[in-house]
Amino acid sequence: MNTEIVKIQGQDSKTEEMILNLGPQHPSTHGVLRVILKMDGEVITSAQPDVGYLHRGTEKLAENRTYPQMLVISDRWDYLAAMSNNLVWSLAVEKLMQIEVPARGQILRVIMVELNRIASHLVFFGTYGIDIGAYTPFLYAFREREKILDLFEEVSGARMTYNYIRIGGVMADLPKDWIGRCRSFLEWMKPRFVEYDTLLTENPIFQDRTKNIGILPQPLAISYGISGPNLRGSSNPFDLRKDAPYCLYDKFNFSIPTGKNGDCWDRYWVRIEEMKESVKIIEQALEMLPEGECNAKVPRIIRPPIGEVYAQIEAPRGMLGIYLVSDGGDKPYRVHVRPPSFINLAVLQEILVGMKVADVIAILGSIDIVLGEVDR
Amino acid sequence: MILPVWNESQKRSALILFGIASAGAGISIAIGEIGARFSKIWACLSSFALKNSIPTALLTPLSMIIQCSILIGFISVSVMFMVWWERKVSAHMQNRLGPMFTGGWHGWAQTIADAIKLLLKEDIIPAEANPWVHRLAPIVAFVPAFLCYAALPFGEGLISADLDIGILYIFAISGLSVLGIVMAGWGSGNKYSLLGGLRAAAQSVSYEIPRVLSVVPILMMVGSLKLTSIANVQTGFWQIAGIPVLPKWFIFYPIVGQIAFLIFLISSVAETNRTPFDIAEAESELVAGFHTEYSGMKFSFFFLAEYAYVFLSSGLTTVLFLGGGSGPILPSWSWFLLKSFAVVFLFLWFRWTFPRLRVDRLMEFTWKFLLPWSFVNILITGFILLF
Amino acid sequence: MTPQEIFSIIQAQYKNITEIPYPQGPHAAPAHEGKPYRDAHLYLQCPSELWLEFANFLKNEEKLSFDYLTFVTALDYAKINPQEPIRIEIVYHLYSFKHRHTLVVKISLNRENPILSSVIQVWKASDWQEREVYDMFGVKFEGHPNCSRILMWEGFPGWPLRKDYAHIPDRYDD
Repeated sequence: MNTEIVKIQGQDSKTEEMILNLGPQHPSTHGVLRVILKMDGEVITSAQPDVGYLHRGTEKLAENRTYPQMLVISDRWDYLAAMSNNLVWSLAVEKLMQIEVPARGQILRVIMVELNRIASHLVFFGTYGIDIGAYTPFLYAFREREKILDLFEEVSGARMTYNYIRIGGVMADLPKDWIGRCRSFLEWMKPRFVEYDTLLTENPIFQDRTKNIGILPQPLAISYGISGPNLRGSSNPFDLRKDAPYCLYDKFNFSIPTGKNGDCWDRYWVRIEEMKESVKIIEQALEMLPEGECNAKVPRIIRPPIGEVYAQIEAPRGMLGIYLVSDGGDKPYRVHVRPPSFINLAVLQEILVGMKVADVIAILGSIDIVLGEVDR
Repeated sequence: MILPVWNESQKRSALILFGIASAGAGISIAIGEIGARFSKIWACLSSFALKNSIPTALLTPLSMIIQCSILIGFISVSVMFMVWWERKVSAHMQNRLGPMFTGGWHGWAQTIADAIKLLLKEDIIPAEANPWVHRLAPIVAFVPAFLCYAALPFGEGLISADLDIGILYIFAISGLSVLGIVMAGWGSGNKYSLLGGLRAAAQSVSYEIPRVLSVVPILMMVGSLKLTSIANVQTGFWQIAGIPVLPKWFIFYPIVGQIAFLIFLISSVAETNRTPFDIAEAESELVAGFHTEYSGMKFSFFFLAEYAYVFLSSGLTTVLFLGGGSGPILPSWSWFLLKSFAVVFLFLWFRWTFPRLRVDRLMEFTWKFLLPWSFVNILITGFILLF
Repeated sequence: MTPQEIFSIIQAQYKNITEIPYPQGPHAAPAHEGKPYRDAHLYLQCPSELWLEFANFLKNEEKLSFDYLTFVTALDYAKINPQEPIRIEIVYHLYSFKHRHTLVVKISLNRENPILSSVIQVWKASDWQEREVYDMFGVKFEGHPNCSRILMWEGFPGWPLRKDYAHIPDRYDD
């Protein structure tokens, strides 16, 4: 059933463009984002996102911080997936200094990053439900997330900005019995996916509001530099964990969920499936966790040699990268963060045109941005 | 499915609830049929008045005032209860607790506290608004609900105005509330409120049609528009070999009953602007709802109106489809309240389970699905009645 | 394709584009033998006049087909070490989905008046990233439909990420 918009021709059918401000304060913009929409009736003619409300100047701050001090700042880019940010910074510095992290450290990193992926996608699931109008799945998702945050609190002492993955390894080894608790969490998590499927994924009202909405064709996605679940939703199976494996990801057995149409439902579905794959990866990681040292020998003052490096990982939001230029001192010369949310958000200017106002929230939610990463 | 594994505190709560339920049942049986008692009390009062030569012309307005006060009292208490109940039900569905603090036991005084707070809020009328329209809109939204309650049978002999055109009266008057919504939207002087108000008005008007048409089969089978007759037809049980199997409620009538019930239920949820049809007042949507510019007492009037309509729709569903007051052991008014609140629980359950429909899909749904099916329902009823 | 093969295809077409050699380290850092490090991709230096044409070539050439722009950023070489000439260098990091190879192109501009042609028609990902480079370094991109500040507010004085940026007190300083 499609609704058509009938334009009546006539001399006095003068339509004005209305400018609507999806302002910085709005329940559905996932942070301080402003989108300036020009509408002709119900149809959008132009959409201009206005970012920069959360800009904290981390690239400038980095020039005055030592490499370990930058770890604390890196937590705050994508604050929902702080482990990934720590990991990408550590990988960049380790690449520059040619440090090899022992196997136990790498597997621990994988476990933390995958748990964080589940936590981040749970937030997406809950908030996307709220955007569409279903208030209950949000609380179920956060109940699961509480368990993950409890695990993280035991391991690193914090619930959001962990600062756990350090240069050369991890902050400290696992506490006693953490593995048992992690396993019981995974057992608890597996039936939850069935619950989520019943509540949202297979709900006809939800599918009606997200299928065939906000279709992102693959050539457009590649041209705009989209990465992560958004690109995989547009049927391009590109995942850095398979293409350019880091942290021993090539030893794990998992698949890459890929969408078919590139609409909002596909992007949502890719993230739900990724959560299931992450559960598989964590189980395998817990099986193959070797004994031994988890940290490599790192000098007390980290002075990388002259050079430049680009390290990238598959963060929950997309391809997060750090371009690091060192001049031989103990502080970086130039740090550039390649933020997946910032680059993914740019495509909004194009896919919102021609859509109806009621779909804006659904499309914006399906891109899954975090303003900390957009603005840095 | 998570089967109940009862721990100590859950067993205790279950016992308490069972205790309250049986105490309630006992008290209602002890009170008996209120309608009969009210008639007796009224007969005493009128004979007393006659003896002391108070003019009889004074008695009729007095009886109306008493009935109105009872009705307003009932509406207020039931709305307060429903607001608290919704918060508790939604909380438990969402794995949390809800109000626990105000008034001690599970926050029962929460709504009273909220009502007092709303009363004390500053009453803001936006500069762009038309002050009289802005002030009248909540009243125009609420008053039709109260007018309709007068014609609703709360049990045997407990009906304020037993009109011959009862159901027609209720549908006609409850349709007036649309006017209140449009006035609220326009009188706020805010183009987004206006858009929200117009959308709500379009939705209400469209969903009234299947709502009314779905009741037509019932009227065809009863042959009267009088609500008490409709309720009375549903007393008794269908029996197989002398054992009562199914109560004679319209919802159990083959095919027509179920279709009519479903269409009526869905249309009532849409009429009262509740999720999944609450596009007009949703917070996370782009266009703000029609009651954004309202604060304090006026906002509480809209709130009151919404819950009053919810109970009204549930009461109508009970009378039309669920037998409205018929049932063994307990008196008719307690059966009516039990069944109505069961339907209210359905309304609450829908709200916290389903996402929201998009506006154009909502309209398509009624015009292209509900309306044709209600016509088909009337046809089938016609055939059944003929043969 | 290996970096040598990519470079030979490019050299055949454009003689002015040179490969940036692996860094030699006069300021060898004390950590682990002080050997400078650079990723194992091909790093190219492109003159600014040739950039738009070269970008089109990189995207459209069959054997190269760099269709994905990973990031655009800039580097202010004002302070790194005395041997390096003072300049602003724009870095484009490209990737090809078809052939799975990576390329980094660097374009040097002078610090007084940095202008570069925008490649927004080639890779749309450069839309916001070039605006960010403009915002932070003051590099003007010709041909960009909306070259305005993106992270800082309109009318912000100065180019924050330049090495000689001094904060001008404004109404947010108390």
